[in-house]
Amino acid sequence: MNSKYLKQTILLLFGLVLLTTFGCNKKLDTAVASAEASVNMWQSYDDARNGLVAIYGLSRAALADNNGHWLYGDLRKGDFVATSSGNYLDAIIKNELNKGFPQIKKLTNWRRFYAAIDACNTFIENAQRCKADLRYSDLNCTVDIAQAHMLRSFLYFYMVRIWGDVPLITKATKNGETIQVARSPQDQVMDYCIRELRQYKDSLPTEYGGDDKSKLNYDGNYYGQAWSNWGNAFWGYYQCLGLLAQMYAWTGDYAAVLTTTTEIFNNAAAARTGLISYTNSRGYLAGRNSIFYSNGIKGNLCYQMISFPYNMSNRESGPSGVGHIESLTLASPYMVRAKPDIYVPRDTIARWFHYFGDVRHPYQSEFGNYEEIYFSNYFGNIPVFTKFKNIETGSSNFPIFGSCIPIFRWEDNLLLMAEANYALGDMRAAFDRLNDVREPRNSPGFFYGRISAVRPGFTLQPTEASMEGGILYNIFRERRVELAGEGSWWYDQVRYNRLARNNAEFNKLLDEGGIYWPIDQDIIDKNPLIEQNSYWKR
Amino acid sequence: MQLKKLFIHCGRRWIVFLLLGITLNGMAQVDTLSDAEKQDSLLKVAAAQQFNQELKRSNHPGLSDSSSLLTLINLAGVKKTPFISVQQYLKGNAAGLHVSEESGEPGAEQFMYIRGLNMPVFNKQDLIAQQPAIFVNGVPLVQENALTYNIQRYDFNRIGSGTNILSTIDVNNIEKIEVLKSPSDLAVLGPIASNGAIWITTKSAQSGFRKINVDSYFGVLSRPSVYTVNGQYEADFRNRYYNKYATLDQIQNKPLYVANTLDPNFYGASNWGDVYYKSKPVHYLGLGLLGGMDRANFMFNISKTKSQNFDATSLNRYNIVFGINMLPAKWLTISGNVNATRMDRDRNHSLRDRFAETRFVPDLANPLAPNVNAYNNFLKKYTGAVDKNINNSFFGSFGVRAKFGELELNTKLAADYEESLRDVFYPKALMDNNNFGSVYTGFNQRFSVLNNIKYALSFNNNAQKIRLEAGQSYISDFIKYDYVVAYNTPNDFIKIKETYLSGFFYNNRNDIFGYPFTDKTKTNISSLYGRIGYSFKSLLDLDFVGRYDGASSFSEYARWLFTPVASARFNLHELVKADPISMLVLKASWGQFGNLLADDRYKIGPQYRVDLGYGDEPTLGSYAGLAGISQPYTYGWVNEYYNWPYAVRTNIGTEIGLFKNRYMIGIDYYNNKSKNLIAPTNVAAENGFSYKYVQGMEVQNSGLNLTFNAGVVTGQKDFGWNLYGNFSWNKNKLLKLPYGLTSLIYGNRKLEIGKPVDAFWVYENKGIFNTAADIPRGRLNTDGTYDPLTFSGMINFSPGDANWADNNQDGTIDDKDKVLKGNALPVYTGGLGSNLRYKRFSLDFQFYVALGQKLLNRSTANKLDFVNTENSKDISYVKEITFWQKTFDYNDYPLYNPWSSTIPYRIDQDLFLENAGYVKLRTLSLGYDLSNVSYLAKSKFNKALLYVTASNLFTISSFSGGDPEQVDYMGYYDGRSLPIPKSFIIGIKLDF
Repeated sequence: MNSKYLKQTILLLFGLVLLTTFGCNKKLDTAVASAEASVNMWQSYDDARNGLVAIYGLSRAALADNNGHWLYGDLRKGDFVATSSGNYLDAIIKNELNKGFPQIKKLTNWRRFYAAIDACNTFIENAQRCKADLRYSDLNCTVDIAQAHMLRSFLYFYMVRIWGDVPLITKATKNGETIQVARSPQDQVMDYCIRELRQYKDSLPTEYGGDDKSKLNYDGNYYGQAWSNWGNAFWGYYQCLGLLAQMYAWTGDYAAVLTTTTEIFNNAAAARTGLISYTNSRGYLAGRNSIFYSNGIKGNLCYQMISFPYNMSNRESGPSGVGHIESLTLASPYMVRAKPDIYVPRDTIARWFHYFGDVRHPYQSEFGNYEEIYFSNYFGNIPVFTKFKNIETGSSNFPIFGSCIPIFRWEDNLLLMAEANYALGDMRAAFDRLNDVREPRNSPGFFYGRISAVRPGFTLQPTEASMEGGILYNIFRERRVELAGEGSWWYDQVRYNRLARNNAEFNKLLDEGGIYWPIDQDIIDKNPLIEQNSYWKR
Repeated sequence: MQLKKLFIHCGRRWIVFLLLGITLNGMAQVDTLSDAEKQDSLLKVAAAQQFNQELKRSNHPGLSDSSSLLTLINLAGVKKTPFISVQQYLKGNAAGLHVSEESGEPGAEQFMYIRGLNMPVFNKQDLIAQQPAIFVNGVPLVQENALTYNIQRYDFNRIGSGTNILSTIDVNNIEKIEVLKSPSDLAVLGPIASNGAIWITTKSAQSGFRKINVDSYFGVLSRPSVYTVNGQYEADFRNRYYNKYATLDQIQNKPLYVANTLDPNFYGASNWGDVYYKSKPVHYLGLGLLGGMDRANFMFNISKTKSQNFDATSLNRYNIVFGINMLPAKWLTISGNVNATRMDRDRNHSLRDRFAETRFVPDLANPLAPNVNAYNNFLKKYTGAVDKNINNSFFGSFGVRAKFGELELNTKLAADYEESLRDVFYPKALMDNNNFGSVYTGFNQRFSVLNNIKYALSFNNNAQKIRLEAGQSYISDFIKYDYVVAYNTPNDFIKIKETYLSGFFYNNRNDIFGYPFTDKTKTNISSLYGRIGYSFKSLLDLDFVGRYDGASSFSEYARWLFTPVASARFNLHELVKADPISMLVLKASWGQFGNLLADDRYKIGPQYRVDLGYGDEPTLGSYAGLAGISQPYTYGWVNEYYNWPYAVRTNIGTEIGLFKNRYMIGIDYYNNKSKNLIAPTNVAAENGFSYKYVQGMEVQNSGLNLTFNAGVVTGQKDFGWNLYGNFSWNKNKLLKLPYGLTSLIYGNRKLEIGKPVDAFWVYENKGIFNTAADIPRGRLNTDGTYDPLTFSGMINFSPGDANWADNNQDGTIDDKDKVLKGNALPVYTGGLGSNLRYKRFSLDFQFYVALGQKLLNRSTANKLDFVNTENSKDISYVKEITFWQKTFDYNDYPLYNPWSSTIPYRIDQDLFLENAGYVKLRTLSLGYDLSNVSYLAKSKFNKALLYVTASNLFTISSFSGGDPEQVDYMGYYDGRSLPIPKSFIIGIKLDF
């Protein structure tokens, strides 16, 4: 090789390399795979969909984290007992929320609720922009924004039940400017929630991806899928009414409860829901593929009207089991675990039922045996609460659970109606609604017998036991059994005691604010405007 | 003769040699050359020597290069040890470098800190972000990244093989290692070396006679002395509490394995250690070949290493290194090298680590039993399990240097590919009748181009010199992984997802639950630098470097950063020729260094990402089957844009040499300020965000590094003694927080201005409240009465509770009473080594010291807090088989009421804060050179060293619970990791 040219070639090469690398600025624009800049968000149909899904997902996360829905809603002063006494579950059950357990500390933190609320606020403020994409119709946008309003109200309502007064924030965070807001009186928060729901209920279809019976007439697929895919994942008009009913009941406005629940009651078909019949009771309430499973569709109905479901055809559930009540209540033989974390002791079960023919009773008179419906291992030391056993793939005991976070269903509505009728003094209607729930469970009614709708000629007469304690007590006893493990018994007790005021200990909790949870010290440290709930301030 | 000719032929045509793959020819020992050939080669010696000189010149690019005498690591002792990673080679061997080795498991991750913590460590990501850069032959290796931690519920191990990628470098291939830490040393390395650099030069090819070397060792580990215990011990320990405090209900709830004294597994012999601590052999076999002609030469090395530890852990490493140099023209040098390594690793049987990967916590009511039969039954459950961990590493570079008089051009192209593979299957027996499989494929790759041009101008008869240099580099990293976890295959024999034909369609078997994850990130760095140097005689060197770096991890508005470095070196010994002083140097350098951001989330500003998960299910990303994206509430708010964080470093030092540099000492004082760091600041929870990431944190590290080397006895034929050592002191201090904050809380860490960033945040324990009278009064009310003292404002103290200091005197013990104490990282580190030679014997030892740090003993805290750890689902409480050993004396701790709501045995108190300082004898090695033994002398060995080495012989420490070095990166001692074993090897090194 001629070394003269070699020299020049090398020099040229150097020059070239230098030149190409000077143009490297462009090379420094690398894409980020796992995130999208905010400036690119809220521009398309997909952005709207992703944002909408996120507000549901974040709300679900707030309720699911540390099994909060049940720890807040079912445990306190409830029927569950902790298997190992002295642990955090035991403390919650005994309402000793001041104990220094890290799990309790996590539950006293409301950040995840506000994350979901901020996502709702952001959605409400930005969804309109997605209409730049022509695929995103006005109607679609209206409906989505109404859902965001509804979810935000729901989250505030949920928080009010836990903490009482909470800061009411209805504007999205802007550019990371942090704001500090004091707690608003809970009446004000509830007023706001109810006002919002009333304002936006008419912007919601009765069902998504199907035959909308509302004035909107939003028929056809919703985000490309039919109702048979969505089930109860997205909340519509009747879901909004259900939340309204719960809110009215919490605020004690029973006249409004009655109107709202009655509207639902009269529109079962439009709400695509209904009463679980006698024949379906066992399988639908406590089967391995119950009304709580996945998107909640049974036939062409969603019995579980309001819930945060886990879409099991997409494997939306994880191996920790957290976010499903099964992770607390199930044990052998449903999963490899000797004892559940919490259980309902035998004597409590005995107090629940006033008739052994009840389909939810551990003893199934129809089969003449103890069956695994609501309970299994009934005669063991620790009966296992098996109402929820939506274990994926029936055959194995792999603990991936498919149960939703249940919020509201038809029976809940009936019992709320009964409660409202009682509060308004219409006893006959109260009996009727209570009996509406009891009859299909083969449970003796209150005050009068009811001719069975499904079993012609069959009437179960009321007994002394089925009326013991009076109508109000029985309405709530029915809630306690029918809605067991659905995260409502604590709130039911609060309402019951507000109406009954016959329990000195509970009255003290009501009067002194002991029904609320303490607030995490971290929250108070980060926002000095927040004050600890007085009951827990010692 | 046939062989010989073949070999010579091969030497010339090294490519053919390699391609033919007759590498074993190297073993065929070739005798001396014939006379004629010798003559010929003698003629070439001059040229070859020049060539060798040329090759040796390539050294680290520090601004003033004579300091390397003190930055060089003494590897003489290390080369006779069974250590396998760069971190291990360096531990205790370099001033200003601290190596933390949490686990003795071969191939486990190890971390390095050069001159302290540049920023607080809140999680593994922060730790990985401040690892020093590794340069091999001037080329930066790709760094570990923290990408996978985004999907990990627990960060005990990284998913994937988790193997330390710096185990790929065989110490026998290393010619020298330097630890670069001063501004002048790091100036031209750029932001990738902002945390310091480890500069490795591999053995280079040398012209001259072929050299073959064979290295081998074989050794065993010694079983640690462990005091194993059984259920009786646990019962004795717990009964003290049950007798004093328990209610009937609590007594009835005593766990079965403690209560049932008839269970032979728990109450029988506690001999699990016989299986767990089975001693395992380690070995190494390496073969090297150097050779070539005056214009081209090569080096070649192949080795196989097996490292072992207890619990059947092991690492196999297969390593091939190949290097060439060519001098096609006098002014042109071409060199290339390739390092290829494969490592496979057998990992431990730790329950915690397994649960962390499977994300599935089985029923933990009963721990593993201490009886060997029960333990064997547990191990049997692993039958049919797959746990393959493979790392493939390939890095190589190709360089050209052209020199025309005073003008020099350098270019280097380099590629690095590090692949990590893991294949796991746990059968049903291990997984509560479920099973688990996961597949991980991930790689980190780096492509770099480095160019520079140098020119030197001389004036006044070379008395003054101006050196000019300009350089440019482009580094491109790509990191990607794919990870699938799956549960519940139909049986233990079907390990992959089945599809089946249903009608005309293929369907998936539904009962397998698979969760796929994938992520990738690209980072490119483009740099330009210019350097101007001025030398006056050999008295004074002045250098100034300015560089301009652009990195893709910043937004386009803040992408480029200009940083200057200035350095001066004054060779005083040129002026003062006092006799014993052969060297007296004063030097100072100052510079700014940009720090890269490891996480690319900061560059796009406010953002949307998938964040629908929650505590126990962090990766749940969809609702109703659709992925939802929201602002990153869980991670925290990310600001619009971030500037480069940068460090301002100052270094003042002296180098003193006495008696022709027989005694050398180097002292450096440094003051490094890391500025503009991103800190997670608190935001009101009502905003929904966990944190807000704001720039403006400043951390200072200042201290002293001292290095010395003493040729105590030199120049004698039969006797030589070299003593070397280092000592460092580092003081870490938080100078500033964003928004003018004075303190910041993140998880269980608190930062406070003026305090070290690695301080522990603890309650001060003052003993026990034995009676109600011991409990002090709480808050004074306006009416003159006192509230009782409370814990966190909600719980009243009762007898049996811990007495924690109410430092702010508000009548409530809460976070505000916690104080910052101690350091998690050592304040003082050092090492002392010696090479002694007497006739044919050699004796080497090396001590390692780390002092001034503390640890939080979680191992003991968890055992004492048995009430809360017993039934917790938190996997950090899982009892391993190692639970059944005595690690502390329970009588040393106050007898608190473990059922108390105040959690008296909580970890965050100084009751568990212990001194973690230690002195270790790392290696002790005795060798005997056989090369002149008459029988062997005929074989013409240049060297035939037979040696025995003991590693980790003893530790001196006030910490009694175990090895105080084995703390995690937050300074917690878990007592879970495998010990850093005491090992004994016998080895031989042959050169011929």
